[in-house]
Amino acid sequence: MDCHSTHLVEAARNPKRVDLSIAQSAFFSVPQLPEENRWLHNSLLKKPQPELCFGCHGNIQAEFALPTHHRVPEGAMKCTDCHNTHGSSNLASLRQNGSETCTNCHTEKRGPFVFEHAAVKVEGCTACHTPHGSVNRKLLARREERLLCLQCHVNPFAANVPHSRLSFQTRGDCTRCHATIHGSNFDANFVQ
Amino acid sequence: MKIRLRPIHSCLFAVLTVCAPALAQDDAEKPLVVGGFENQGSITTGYRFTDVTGYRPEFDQLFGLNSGFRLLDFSLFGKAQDGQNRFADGYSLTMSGLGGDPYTSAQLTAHKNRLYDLRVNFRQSHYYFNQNDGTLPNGSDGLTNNHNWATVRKLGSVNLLIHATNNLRFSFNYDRNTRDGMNWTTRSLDYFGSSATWGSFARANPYYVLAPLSENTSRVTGGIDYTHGGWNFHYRLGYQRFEDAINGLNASSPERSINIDDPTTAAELVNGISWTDSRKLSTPVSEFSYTGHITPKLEARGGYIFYRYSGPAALDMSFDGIARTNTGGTADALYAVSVSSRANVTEPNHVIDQGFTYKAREWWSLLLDYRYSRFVVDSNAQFRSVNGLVVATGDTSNQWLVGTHTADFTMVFTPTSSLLVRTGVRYVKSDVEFLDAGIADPTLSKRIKTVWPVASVYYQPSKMLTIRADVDQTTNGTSYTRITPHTDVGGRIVVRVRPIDKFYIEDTAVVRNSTLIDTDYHSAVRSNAFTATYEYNSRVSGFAGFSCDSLFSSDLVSFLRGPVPFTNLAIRDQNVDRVWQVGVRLAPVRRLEINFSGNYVRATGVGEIAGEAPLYGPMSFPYATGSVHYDFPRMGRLALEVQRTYYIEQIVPGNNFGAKLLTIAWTRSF
Repeated sequence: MDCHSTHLVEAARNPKRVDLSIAQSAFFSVPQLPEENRWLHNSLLKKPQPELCFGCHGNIQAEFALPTHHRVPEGAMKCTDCHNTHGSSNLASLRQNGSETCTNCHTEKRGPFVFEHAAVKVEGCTACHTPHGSVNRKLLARREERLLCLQCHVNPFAANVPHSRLSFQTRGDCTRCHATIHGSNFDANFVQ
Repeated sequence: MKIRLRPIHSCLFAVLTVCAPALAQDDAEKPLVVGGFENQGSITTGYRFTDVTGYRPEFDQLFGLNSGFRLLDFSLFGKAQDGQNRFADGYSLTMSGLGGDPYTSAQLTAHKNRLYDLRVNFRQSHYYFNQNDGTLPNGSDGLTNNHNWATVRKLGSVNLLIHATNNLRFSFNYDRNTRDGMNWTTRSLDYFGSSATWGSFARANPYYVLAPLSENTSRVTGGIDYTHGGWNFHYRLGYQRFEDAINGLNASSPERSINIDDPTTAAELVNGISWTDSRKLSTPVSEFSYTGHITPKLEARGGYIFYRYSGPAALDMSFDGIARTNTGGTADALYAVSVSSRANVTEPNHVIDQGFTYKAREWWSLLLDYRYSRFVVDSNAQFRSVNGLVVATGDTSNQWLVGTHTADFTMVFTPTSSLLVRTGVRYVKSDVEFLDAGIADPTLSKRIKTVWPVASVYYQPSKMLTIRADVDQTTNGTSYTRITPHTDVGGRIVVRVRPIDKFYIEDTAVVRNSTLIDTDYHSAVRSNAFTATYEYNSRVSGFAGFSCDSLFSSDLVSFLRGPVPFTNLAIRDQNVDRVWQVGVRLAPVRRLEINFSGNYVRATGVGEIAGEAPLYGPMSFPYATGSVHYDFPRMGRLALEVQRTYYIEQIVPGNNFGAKLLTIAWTRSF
C-alpha cells in the first residue's frame, strides 16, 4: 500500500491529470485543482480522492456508479468523510462506531427516541441501507421496500405483520403509514 | 428534441464579458502580487444547456443539472513574499458549483507556519425526490410511500489549529449541519386511545400532507494535543445541540387518502390536518485518546468517549373529516380529533478502548485491542387525545440498556518486504435489554455472542504482480433480527498485474454467504470487478472496467390473515448489477485534448413474494461525457462538453427519461 508521496514527483510527472476512470466526475464537472495545490491540499496523496481509493477498491467504484449513491464521485463527499484510511477499531475502518458515522450528517435520524426501531438501534443503518450505492431508492438493500421489512417482520425474532396478505397495507411500501420508521417519540408503531 | 443553439451566442458573449479582464493579461505564468502575497489561481465559468425528454423529476433526482450560467470552478492561492506579511504565510480559496448546480462547495484556508492553520468549509447538496407512482403496474396507485421532497442539506465548519509550541497544539472547531425545504409525506391519522374500528380506518387511509422541514445541528468543541517523549495525547471538549420542527398540513381539502383502489375510502375524506412536531437534543462532547511506547517494543493506545444526549419532544395535532363507524366501512360519521403529547429522552454513551502492539520480532507483531461501549436510553412520554367528547390520557416509560464488549487479537507477519500476513480473531459479546415500564421484554432483550476469525495476505512477488486477499467468518450464537445471519462466510481477492509500466489490469472478486437456519434465511453475494488502465504516453491514455455484482436472498414470510395461503410464503430477492465503464483521453496536438468517459449500468433481477407479480424489474442507466478543450495562448482554455444519459425501467416506465446536456466553459488561469 502506497498512498502518499513525500515529494512533488507525481505533480511534476503529470501536471494535467484527467480522471478517466470515474464517469460521474466528468458529468458533474468536479473541480480539478491545479496539481501542485491539489497535492498539498490532500495530505500529500499521490492522487485525489476517490480516484486513489478506487485504484484498489474496484468493486466499490462500481457501487458508486449505480443510480442512487452518496455523492462521492461527484466531489460532494470524500471517502475519508466516513472512513479512517489508517485504520480504526470500527468495522470497515469507519471513523466512528457503528451508525454514528451516518448520523454525523444525518443527525435527524439519530435518537434517542421514546420508541426506538430495535433493528436500527442494535444493528445499525446497514441493516436496511447499502451506503455506497444501490439501484434502489434511498439506498435500500432491496428493490421493493416491503420486501425489506417483511424479511424481518415475521415470527420468530420480530413482530408478525398484522396486515392481511394482498391487502393495501402489504401490497405497497410500509412507510406510507409507518412514516417515522427510524424512531418515534409518540407512536410505538412509527406512525407519527 | 434538438438543442437550440441560439442561446449559445448570448452565452459566449456572457463568458467573454466575464473573462475580458483576464484575457487582457499578457502572462498567465507570472503571479499577481497583491497585499504582499504572490497570488495564482484559475476561474472556470460556463453555460449549460439541458434538454430532458420523459419524466423530468427522475432526471432531477439523479442529476439535477439544469440550464444556466455557472461558476463551475474557482481557485485562488496566495503565498506571502518573504517577510512581507505578519498574519499569514499563505492562503487559498476554492469554490465550485456556484450558480444553481446541486452540489456547491467552498473552502478557505490560511496558515502561518508554526503558528496556526485555519480551514473554513462549506458544502451544500440539493436533494430532489419524486417517485412517479401513478404508473405502477396492476392498476394499483399509492404503492410507493409518496414521501417526496425538495430539500437542501448544508454543512459548514470552521477549524482553527494553533501551534503553541512544537509539542502543544490547541484546536477550536465549529460545525453546523442544516436541512431545510419542502417535504411531502403521508400520515395515517391514528391517535392514543383509538378504537379497533378507528384502527381499520387509519390503516386504510394514509393521507398526503405537506410538511416543510427545518433541522439544524450546531457543535462547538475545543481541543488540546500534546506530544511528549513519543506519547501523544488528544482531548476534545464541547457541546452539541440539535433542533428540528415539522409543521404539516393536508395537501387539499376535502382530501381522499392515497388508497384510491379501495371504494370504501371514497367517502372517508379529511377536511383538515394541522400538525406540529418538534424535537430538541443536546449533549456534551468529551473525547480522549492517546498513543505511546511503553518500551521500544510495546506500544499502547486507548481512548474514552462520553456523550449524554437529552431533550424534550412535542406533538400537537388536530384533524377532522369523515371516518367509518364500523370495521367494514359501511357506515360513516363526522369526527374531530386533537392530540397533544410530550416526551423526554436521555441517552448517556460511554465508549472506552485500550490496545497494545508488541513487536516480538522485526517480522512479527502481536496486537490486542479491547473496547467496551454502553448506552442507556431512558425515555418517558405523556399522551392525550380528544375525539369529540372522549378524552384519553396515558403515559409510557421505557429503557434500552446495551453493553458491548469487543476483543481483537491479531498477529502480523512480514517475513519479507513483499509479503504481509495478518491473522486474528474478534470476539463480541453484546447484552441488549429493553425494559417497558421496568419489565424486560424477552423479544427485544438478548445476549449475542459472536466469534469472528479473520485472515488476510498482501503479496507482491514482483513489480508486475500484486495479490491481496482476505477471508473471514462470523458465527453468531444468537441472531438479533431475522436477517442477522447465524453464519456469515466471505472472502475477497484482488490481483493486479502490471506487465509493463504503462499498462495494468486489476480484478477484484468477492464471495459472501449468509445463513440463518432457524428461519431458512439465505443470502449470497458474488461480485467481480475488472479494470484495465493504459497510458501509452502523455497524449494517449485509456481506462476500461466491468463489474458484476449479484445478490440472492430467500426467506419465508407469513401474514396473520388474508387470502390463503398466508403462511410460509417464499420471498425471493435477486439483483444482478452490471456496470461497464470506459474512459479515453487523446491529445493529438499540443493544445488540444479530447476526452470521453462513460458508464453503462444494467440491473436485472426481481424481488417477489410467491404468488405475486414483481413490481420492479430490469433497468438500464447509461451516461457519458465527451469533451474537447483547446488552450489558447495567453487567453485560456475553451471546453465543450456534450453529455447524454438515459434512465429506462422496463416495468415502471413512467420514470424513464433521456437527457442531453451541452456545456461551454472557459478557464482562465491567473
